Amino acid sequence: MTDATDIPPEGEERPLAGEYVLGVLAADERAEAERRIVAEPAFARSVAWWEERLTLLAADIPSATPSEGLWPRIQNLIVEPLKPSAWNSVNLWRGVAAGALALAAASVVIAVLPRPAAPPIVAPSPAKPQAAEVALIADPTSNKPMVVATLDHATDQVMLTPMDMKMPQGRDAELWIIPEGQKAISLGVIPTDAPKRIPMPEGLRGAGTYTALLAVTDEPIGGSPTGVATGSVRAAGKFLKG
Amino acid sequence: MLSRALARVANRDHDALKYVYRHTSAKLLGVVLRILNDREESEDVLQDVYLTVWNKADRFDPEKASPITWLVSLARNRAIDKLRARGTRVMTGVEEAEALPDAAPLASARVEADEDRQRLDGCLDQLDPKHSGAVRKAFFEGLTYDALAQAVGVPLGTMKSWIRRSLISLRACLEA
Repeated sequence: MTDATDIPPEGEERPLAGEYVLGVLAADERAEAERRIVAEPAFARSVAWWEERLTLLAADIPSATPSEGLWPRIQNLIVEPLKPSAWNSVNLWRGVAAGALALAAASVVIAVLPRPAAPPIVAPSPAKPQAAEVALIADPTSNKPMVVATLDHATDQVMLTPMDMKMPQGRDAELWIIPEGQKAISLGVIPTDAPKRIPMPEGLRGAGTYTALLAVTDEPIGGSPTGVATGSVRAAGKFLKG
Repeated sequence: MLSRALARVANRDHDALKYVYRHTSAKLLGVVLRILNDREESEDVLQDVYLTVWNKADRFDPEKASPITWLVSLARNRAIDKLRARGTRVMTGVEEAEALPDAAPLASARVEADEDRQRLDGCLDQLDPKHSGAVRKAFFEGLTYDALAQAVGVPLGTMKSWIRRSLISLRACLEA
C-alpha cells in the first residue's frame, strides 16, 4: 500500500525495525522484515533494540491463567524427542528395527488379519510378482503394532492399515521410509483411523524396499515443515520378505 | 533464574521447561489473549511458543536479550502471525488503548527493568497523547496500520505518520 504519507519525514529513515516490533506491519511486510533479520545483522540489532524497550509495555497487560490441560499437552509433545541428527543414526534404526522384527516373527498371525476393502486397482502387469510383503510398524518401546504395511507389487503401492495408532493432540502421524544407509524420505501424513494406499517413491520400487525401515513420527499438523522429522518416533518396522 | 532455566532447557531438561512455563505462562497468555481475543486459539499459540522454547532455547543469548523480552517477543510474534492469517475478519468490541495495570509484575522483574520502564514512560509522555495512545494500542493488540486507523477513526496516512513520527521521537529520546 503506497500513499503520499508512506514517504518518511524529510531526512529520516522509515523506522521499519520499530514498526515490526510494534506489530503494525501487514503479513507480507512482516515476512520481508523477518527475512532481513536473518540476512542483515544491523537490522537484527535494531529489532533487538526495540524489543528490549517496547516489551516493557507488556507489564501493563493483565496475566491470564492457562487451562490446567495446557501444560500436560506441552509435556506430552516433548517426551523423548529425537534430534534430527539422531534420525540418521544407523545404530538407532537397527535397534528399533530389531525390536519390530522380533515381534513380527512371533506374530505371523498378523498376515491373515482382515484387510479393509482395497480401492479398485488397474490390472496388474503380469511381469511383476504378486507376492505382498508385510511390515509391522510397532511402538519401539512396547512393541505393540500400530500400523500394518502391506507392499503391493502390482501397483507399487504400500497399503497401510492402522491398528492402534494414537497421536498426541494437535499432532499428525507422518510416515517415513529409510533405505539402508540413507536418509529418511517422507511418505506423507497418514490417517490414524483409516486405511490408506501410498505409492512407493520412484527408485524404491525394487529389492531395496525389503531392507528399508518404515517409521511413524508425530509432527505438526500437515507434517514436518522442514522435510526432516522433528517429532518422536512413535512406531517403526521393516518388511518381511514373503 | 529464567536465564539459567533457559540454558538448562537447551540441554533438554524437562524440569527446566516446566519452571519456565510456571513462571511465564500466565504473562504470555495475557499478552497473546490481548491480541487474539480467543482463549482456545491463544492457548494453541502458547503451546507452540513453549515447543519453540524447547527446541530453540539454545538460540537464546542472555548477552543480547533478557529472557522475558525473548519470551514475550516470541509469543507476540506468533500471536500477530496468527492474527494476520485470520485475514480481514472484522474485529468487534475493540477496547480502549489504556489497559488495566497488572497486579503481578513480569516474572523477571529486575530493578533496572523498573528504571528502563520509567524511562520509556517518560519518553512516551513527551509524545502527543493521541500518538502515544496509538503506539500502546498497536503494541497491545498487534493491529496493522489499516486496522489501527479504522479502530481509532483516522485516515490510514495519518496513522502511519503518527506511528512513524512517534517511533523516531522515541528512539531519539531513549538513546539520549
